[in-house]
Order: sequence, then C-alpha cells, then structure tokens
Amino acid sequence: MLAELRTSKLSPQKYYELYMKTFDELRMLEVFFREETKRGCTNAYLYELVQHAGNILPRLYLLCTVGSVYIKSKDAPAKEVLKDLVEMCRGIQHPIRGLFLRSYLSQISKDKLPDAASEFEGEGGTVVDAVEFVIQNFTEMNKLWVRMQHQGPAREKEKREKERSELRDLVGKNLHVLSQLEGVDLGMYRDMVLPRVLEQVVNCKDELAQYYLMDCIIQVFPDEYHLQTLETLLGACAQLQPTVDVKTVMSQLMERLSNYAASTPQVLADFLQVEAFSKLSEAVVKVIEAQPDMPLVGAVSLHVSLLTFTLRVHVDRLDYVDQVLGACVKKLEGVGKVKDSKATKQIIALLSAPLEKYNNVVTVLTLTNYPKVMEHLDYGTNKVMAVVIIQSIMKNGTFIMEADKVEALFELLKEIIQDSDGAPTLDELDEEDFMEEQNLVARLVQMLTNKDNDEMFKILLTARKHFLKGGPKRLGYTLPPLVFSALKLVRLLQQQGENSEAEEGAASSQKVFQFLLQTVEALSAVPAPELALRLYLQCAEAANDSDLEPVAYEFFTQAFVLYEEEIADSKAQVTAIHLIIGTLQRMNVFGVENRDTLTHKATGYSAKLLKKPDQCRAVYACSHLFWVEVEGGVRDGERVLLCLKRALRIANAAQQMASVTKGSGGPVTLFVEILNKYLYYFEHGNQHITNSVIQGLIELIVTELQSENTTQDPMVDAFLASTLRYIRFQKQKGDGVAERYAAIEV
Amino acid sequence: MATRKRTLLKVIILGDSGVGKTSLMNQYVNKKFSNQYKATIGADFLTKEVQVEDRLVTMQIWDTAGQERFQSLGVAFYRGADCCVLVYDVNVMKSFENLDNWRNEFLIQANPSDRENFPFVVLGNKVDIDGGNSRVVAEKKAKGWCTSKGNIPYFETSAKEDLNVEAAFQCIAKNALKNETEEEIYLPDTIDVNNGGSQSKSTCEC
Amino acid sequence: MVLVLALGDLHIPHRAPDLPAKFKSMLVPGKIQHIVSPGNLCIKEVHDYLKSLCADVNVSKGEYDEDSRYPETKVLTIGSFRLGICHGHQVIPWGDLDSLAMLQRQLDVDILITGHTHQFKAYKHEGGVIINPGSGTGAYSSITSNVNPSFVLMDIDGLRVVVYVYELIEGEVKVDKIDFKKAQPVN
Repeated sequence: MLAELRTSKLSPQKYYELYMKTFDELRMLEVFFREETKRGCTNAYLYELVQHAGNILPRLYLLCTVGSVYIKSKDAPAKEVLKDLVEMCRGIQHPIRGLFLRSYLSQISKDKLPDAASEFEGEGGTVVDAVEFVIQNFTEMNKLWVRMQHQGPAREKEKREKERSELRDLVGKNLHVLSQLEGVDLGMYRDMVLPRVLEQVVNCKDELAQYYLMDCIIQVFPDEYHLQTLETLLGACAQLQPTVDVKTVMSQLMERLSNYAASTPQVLADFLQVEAFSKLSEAVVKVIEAQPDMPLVGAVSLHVSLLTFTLRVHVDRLDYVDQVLGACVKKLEGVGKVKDSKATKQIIALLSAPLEKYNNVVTVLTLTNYPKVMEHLDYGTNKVMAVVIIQSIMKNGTFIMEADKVEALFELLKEIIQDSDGAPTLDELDEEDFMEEQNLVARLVQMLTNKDNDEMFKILLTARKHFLKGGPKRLGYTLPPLVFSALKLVRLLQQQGENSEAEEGAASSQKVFQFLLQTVEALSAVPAPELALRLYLQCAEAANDSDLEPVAYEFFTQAFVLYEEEIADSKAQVTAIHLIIGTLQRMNVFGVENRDTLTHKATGYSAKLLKKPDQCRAVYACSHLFWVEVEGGVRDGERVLLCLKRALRIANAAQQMASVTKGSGGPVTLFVEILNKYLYYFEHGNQHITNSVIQGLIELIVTELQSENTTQDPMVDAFLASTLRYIRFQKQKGDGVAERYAAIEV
Repeated sequence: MATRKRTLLKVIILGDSGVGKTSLMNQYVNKKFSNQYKATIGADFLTKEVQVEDRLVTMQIWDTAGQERFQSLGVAFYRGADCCVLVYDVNVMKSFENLDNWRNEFLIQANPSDRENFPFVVLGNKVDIDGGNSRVVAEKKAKGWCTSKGNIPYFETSAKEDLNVEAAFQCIAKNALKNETEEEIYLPDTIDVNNGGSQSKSTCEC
Repeated sequence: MVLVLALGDLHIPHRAPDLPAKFKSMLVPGKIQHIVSPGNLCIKEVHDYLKSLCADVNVSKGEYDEDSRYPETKVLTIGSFRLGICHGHQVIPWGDLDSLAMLQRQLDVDILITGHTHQFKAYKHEGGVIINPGSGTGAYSSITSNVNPSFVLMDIDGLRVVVYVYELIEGEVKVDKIDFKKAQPVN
C-alpha cells in the first residue's frame, strides 16, 4: 500500500484520499512498532531496519513512523531524530510525493516537538530546535510547491496551477504548527519566526505562494503579534510580486486588527503606542507605489479598507479619517471624473462609510477632503451620492444649525442644487426623478434650523444664495420651503418681542420681510405666479400679525399685480380670488383708506370673473369683508346687503342666461346659497337683513323650483330641504335667535 | 492485525470559523486555553487516551478549518469517523444556523453506512462571554434543533472556563464507541488508481 | 365596524419634512378601510404613502396640491353615513362654523371633513358633525400659531360614530374621544 503512494497519476485530492488511508494503516504500524520495542527490540535497531526497505518513498514513510516511536520513547533526543528525518526527506524531490511525505512528517512530529514546557524539552532540545525543524520543513515544502509550476508541458499550466492551489494547505499547515507552539512568544516570533517565514515568502517570487502564505500568516498568528510586528509585515507587502492581490491581503489584516480592537477595547493603547494607523497609511501608499499596474479600483478599495479600520478603531479621530480621504484624493489627482464603474462603487463606499458610522452629516462636513473625493464622481453618481447624504440627514433627523455648515453642505450637494458644467440639460432628465430629487431638497430645508434668530437668518440667506443659482426649474421647489422657514422666523421674532436696536447683521422682522419679498419675487419671475400669489398672501398675514401696515399693503399690492397680469386661467382666478378675500377678511392692520382700496379691488375682481356662478359666489363672499365677527371688526350692514343684492342680481342673470342658452332652468342652487348667507347675517344681528327679505327669497326659490322651466336636481332639493329644516330648528330653539326667526314661515 | 478489535476512535470537529473548535480540543487534550484567535489550516488531530466504561481507547480528535479557503484538499479525512462534533457559538446566530449545512456536508462526504443513526454531538460554546448576556441562541432553540435531528446530545460549553468540556467529550467517546457495532477493521488491498494497469510505468524511480 | 382615517394639511415638503415618526408607526397598512383628506398633501409621494396604508383614498383639493385632479368637494357614503370633504379655503370666513354648516347643508352630509386652519375641531350641531383633523404634520399656519400635529380616526358602527383624535404634544401622543350618534337614517 505504501508503494502506491509512488503513483504520479493522481490529482492532489485523490492522492490525499490515498494518503489518508495509508495514514490510518501507519497508525496501526506505529502501535506495532511500539509493542515491538516493549518486547525488547531497540528503537535504534528498528530505525536502522526500516532503512532496508527497497523503495525510497515507502522507506521514508516507515522511517518517519519509527522516528515517531523513537522520539516518544526518548531513547534519543527529539531534536536529533527530527533533524535526521527532515534531512532524509530531501530524498524525494517529486513535488506531490515530497509535499505529502513532509506533511506526514509534520503530522506525526507535531506533538513530539521540544516545545517549551513539553515533555521533550531539555535533552530533547529547545523551542529553537522545534522552530528550526518546522521552518526547515516549511522552506523545503514551499520550494517543492513553487517548483511544481515549472514541471511538465507549458500547455498544462492552467491545470497545474489548479493542482498547486489544491496543495496549498500542506505548505500553510507548517505555519499553523508554528502558531501552536507554546514557546513561540512575541519576542521569538518577532526575532526569528516572522523574519524567516517572510524571507521565504518574499524570495520565492511566486504569485500564488505569496498571496496564500501572507493570508496564512495573517490568519494563524494572533492579533497582538501582528500589532507588534506591523512594520515588518507591511514591509513585506510592498516587496511582493506586482501581480499579487495585495489589497485583499492588507484588507484582511486591517479587518482582523479592527475586530481585535472592537472586541478588546483595552488594547487601544497598544494601537496608539505602535502607531498602527500611520504605519498602515504609509503601507497603503507604498504598496500602491510598488504596484504601478494596480487598477484604480484596487487603490481605492485599499483606502476603503483603511477607512473602515480607522472608523472602527479610532472613531473619535476625525483627523485620521480626513487623512485617509486626503490620501485617496492624492491618488485620484489627475484622474478627473472616475469612469470605471467598479472604482466608482468603491468611491461611493468610501464616502458612505463615515455617514453610516457617525449618522451625522454635521460631523462629516468637518472632513475637508470629503468634498474633494466627491468631486471625482461623474455627474450622475455625484447626484446619487447627494441623495444618499440628504436621506441620511432625514433618517437621522440631523439638524444643521450653522450657516457655515449649510454653506459646506450645499457645496457638497451642488450638483443637485444648481446646474453645473457637466450636467445634461434639464429636458434630458427624467422629469419624475428630477421632481423627487428637488422635493427631497425641499424637505432638507426643514432641517436647516437654529433657535437663535440671528443665526437662523444667516442660514436663510446662505440657503437662498445657493438656491438662486439653481435655475428657474428648481426655484419652484426650493424657494417655497425657504419662504415658510422665514415666516416661522418672523413669528418667533414677533412672539419674542423685538429688540428695537437690532445690531448690524441681526435679524429683525423688517429684514426678514425684505428677504421674503425678494424671495417671492424671484419665484414670480420663474414664472410661478399662482404659487407666488399664495406666498404673498401668507406674508401679508404675517405682516399683519407683526403690525406692519405698509409691509402688509406691499404684499397685497404684489399679489394683486400678479392676479391682474399673470393669472389668466379662469379656474386659477376663482381660487386666487377666494384666497384674496379669505386673507383680506382676516386683516386688521389696515386703516380705513388702505382697507377700502383693497376691498374695492377685491370686489371688482369678483364681479369680473368669467362664469356667472363664480362671480355670484365671489361677490357674496366679499360681503364678509364688511362684516368681521371679532372685537373691533368692521360691521357695515348696509354694504353687506349691497353685496348680497348684487349676488342675487348675478344669480338672476345666470338663471336667465341658462334659460336662453339651454332652454331650461339654471342654477337655483345659487339662490339657496344666497339664502343661507342672508340667514347668516340675520342671525348675527345685521339689521339690514329683515325677515321679510328672507321670506321673499324663500318664496322665490320655491316658485323657481316649481316652474316647469327648471330641471329637477335632487341635490338642490336636498339643499333647500336641509336649509328649511335648519330654519325650523332655529325657530324651536327658544332663545333670542328663535324670537327673530318666529316671523319667518316655512 | 487486520481482525483486531479496534481501540482507536476517530472524532471530527466541525463548525464555523471562530466558534472555538481548536480551543475545545486544546482544553480537552492539553488543558490549555488561549484567548487569541488563530485560524486553523487544513485538518489535524490530537490523540487522547480515554477510559470508557471498562475500556481504554485512543481518541483521535480531528480539528478542522472553519474557513473554507483553508480546506483546499477536501475532506478525505472524514473517512472512517466514529463521531462528528458540531460546534457553534451561542453568541453568533449564523454559526448556529450553519449547523445544518455542516451536518449535511458531513453526511454527504463521509457517507457513513447508517446515516440515520450516525452519532453527532452538538456543542454550544462560549457560554462564558459577557456572563451570558450577549448570547443570541437560546438553549431551548438549540435543544429543539438537536431533538429534531434524531435526539443529538447537546452540551453548553466554555473552552475558556473548562465548562462541560470533559463531560461533552466523555459523551462523544461513548457515542463513538457505540457506533463501532463490533465492526472489524477494513483493510483495503489496493486502491482505485484510475489507470491500474500502468502502475509500474507510472511509478517513478524513487 | 369601519375605520376611517381623516388626515390633511400635511404641506410636505413646503412646511414639514414628513409625518411625525410616532404617527407613522401607528398608521399601519391593512387596519384602515377608508382615508378622507381635506387636502394639501402637496406632492404625489405623500398620496402614494396614503395609498400604501389603504386602497380607498379620497382627497379634496387644497390650494397647495399639485394634483389638479382632486375635486373641490367630494361626497361619499360609508355605512349609513354621508361624508363630505372640502378643504375649506373656499369657505369664507375661514374656519367659520356657521359658514361650514351651510356647506354641510349644501352637500347634504352627516359628517363634513374640512381643513385649512390646522386646528383640530369637532363640532356637533343639529345637522351633523364638522370635523377638522388639524394638520398631520403640525405645519406652519398663518391662521393658527403653535400647531400640534394631529389626525382623526373615525370608527363608524351602525348609526354611531366614535371620533378619536390623536394629537402629538411635546413628543407624546394624546388621544381624545368624541361620540356621535345619528338620530335616524336618511332615506
């Protein structure tokens, strides 16, 4: 069976199966040998005896097996036997056979090394002998392994590399043995084990071996050893063949170290003491220099690994984080916008890592190199990143509370806030995406806030400065939230009572209103007249609350100008008129003159609406401009009545128009609406509205409804029915109102 | 030799990287523990003499690499196993969820004659960490899984504090021995070399 | 038993970034049968969000709604109740209950859902109830200062409707309950 191991026909995995079977049998043989020695046969004799086996490979397997028994018996010093065995194994130079034979030697000797505190220490040797033995075996195995690639025809190279790869653990196993030795303390590791192993790794100049063995070193030896020998280990990284995937090797090292720091916080002092960060940073630079052909994605992902390490180990060291970004900027110098999609992905990872770690964009804004990295993203990706940043702000509820932070943030988000050179024209952009983006920016405005009014005002100025560069299409999204932020500030100023001697730069209602006026004006120039009109009216109400008549009047004027010049759509006019009347009705800041002017205008607009029913409704709504149910409010009963009468006339005209054009009755509903308005003022004590007027109106409606001309409309019937039910209810109330209602018959 | 009743028990330890396979073995065999994490490469064993009831047997305990990339030669060493120990970390859910994969992988690769009754033992390791406060796999859940897989014995262990390690391996040895079923040692005469006829040619001069 | 959510005047993104997280966690899909909103959701994303809570979303047009398809008023029947929705900026004076009652007579509804003032209100009168759910986001208003976010859930069961109002006051959700019984069904 041992002879079968001499085959050359098996793949490494099949050979391994055969080896395992042989291995099991050799265990039996070992027991047999041991029993032989108990029967009086000396170990030395057996050791001699097996050397008479015919073929060298079986002979060496037997020799190792007897050697194991020999060492165990302590008849000879372990170090001597081991030395002899490791020398004898040189006899096999065929790679696969040699590797497995030496692997066998390693396996049977593992628990018999003169390791510190082992039973074989002392006469058997010292840990130095143990290490020498393992390293020698390792070196021989690595040579066999590396040499294997040159054996056999060139066309089978691929297959051979695959086989070599399968054999790798046989070589790596030696490193595992070294790591398990008790006697290999930090000093010994630093002075002997690591330099010797690295020497072999670097000198073998083989890509596969270098990558794999570096990985092994990192994985099998403990973290604290790595930390204390960083310089040596990283130095070797820069000496590897240019084709070795050194970024993965280093990433794994950094990942291990950061796991170590995370699980054992007390070792942080060691990290600082050995200057782990600066050593790793330097190594990254050196490795990139040493591998001029490394693709950009490799270099960037090295920085991602370094950043991940930094964020995990030195989370409070923003200067380190910025330094890593800075190093990456340096690497990207001259690259311009990164085109390679894999590298772009890594840059996104680099920029996302601090956001995810700190969950606070304000912290990220202090990183001076952050925007410089972002600049290397192409237009589309830059916008994606901007959206990620805003989403992070919204998700974490981060308030941005200083104007200079807003400045920095908007600088970062500039591709989304304004048009830049590289940007495609807006028509080319997907409309829906654009809307979503800009609405996100609008939401962001809500996060720019400070309780200090002066700083808040600065924030508004800063934000507007950037928004105004965004072009008309963006302003419709970005300015309205800014207007409302300013209105909130006005209200605060008003509630807190203003400091009349406001210093230069300090916020005052006056200044904020100027800001508002300019901002809404910019919006009207977009043009977005309907939105601007609404905002002017909002501002007018705010000015009213701040008791600033001229300001309020100015806002109304602007709103009216827009109404007259820009709003042509009849439906838009109707809504605008209701908003104008609704707002004006609430104003109490105006003196008689201003009030009359504005009221006059509003009623004029109402009467000039296109459709009669719209006219009618706007006109009866205007009646409320002369009757305000608050203390000190206007109560001009006569002009109320005039409005209602005018509304009735319009309703009549509408009725007549309907019968002429459609040949059937028109909007009786308008009469019921007006009836309800009469009832309103009747109840509220307007002396000009009498029961007889109401009675007359009811009768008119009933007649109209019964006329053959009128089309049946159940809605109107129901409206009238519930109005009459209401009158009946009021009559039964039994209070002052009921008395007034008594005269009305239904 | 070929018909001698065997006294060697082969035990394979499997589980995710970092669950403590090597530590459990070192604690059991050498009574040593180190907090340092050192990856294992390939597979290797330690032996230990154990008294099971009235018999003295040698346990060959195979420690394996939890990281797949350090298992390049395959799993031929599963062959002839008498017991398989599945280890997970009670503080890492994924390591528990992966037990299923490890068990299936073992059954497929080792291909034991009686799959239904092949002895497994499950160890939930690192129960000492943070006084148990960081554990995420409840004992009940682990036991439930073991019951569903044919009443696999279950132990909660700490290699660090030598908790239940001895008891667990006693159980492992006992179950491994049960599996033996008076089996004789199988000695193959030859092995399937894909080109048996040309053996002489294929053998080199060494 | 039918659950109807009344929620409006969100003004996203002009005046508020989003609904309060506490509200969002309460409003889970599948619990609500109808949503009625007086309007001023403003953007499509918000409408889509409401759709994700419940398939039946009814919105009347607020003056800031970008969706021009919303009607000025809308009437729907739920169980034995007629519900009307109207934002309210068209009803002058704004928020005036007598004027809103006139609209209610005109629409001939038992319950009128209205908004615009950003102030929660539930007003019972001889002709039914007028409910203003307030602003779901506590958005700035020129009419009401210091607005708390609020919304209304109506539990309609036969001739009875229980109105629950949820208000977010200093980070805590406060719930109030108002009972309303309809005298007799309208034919």
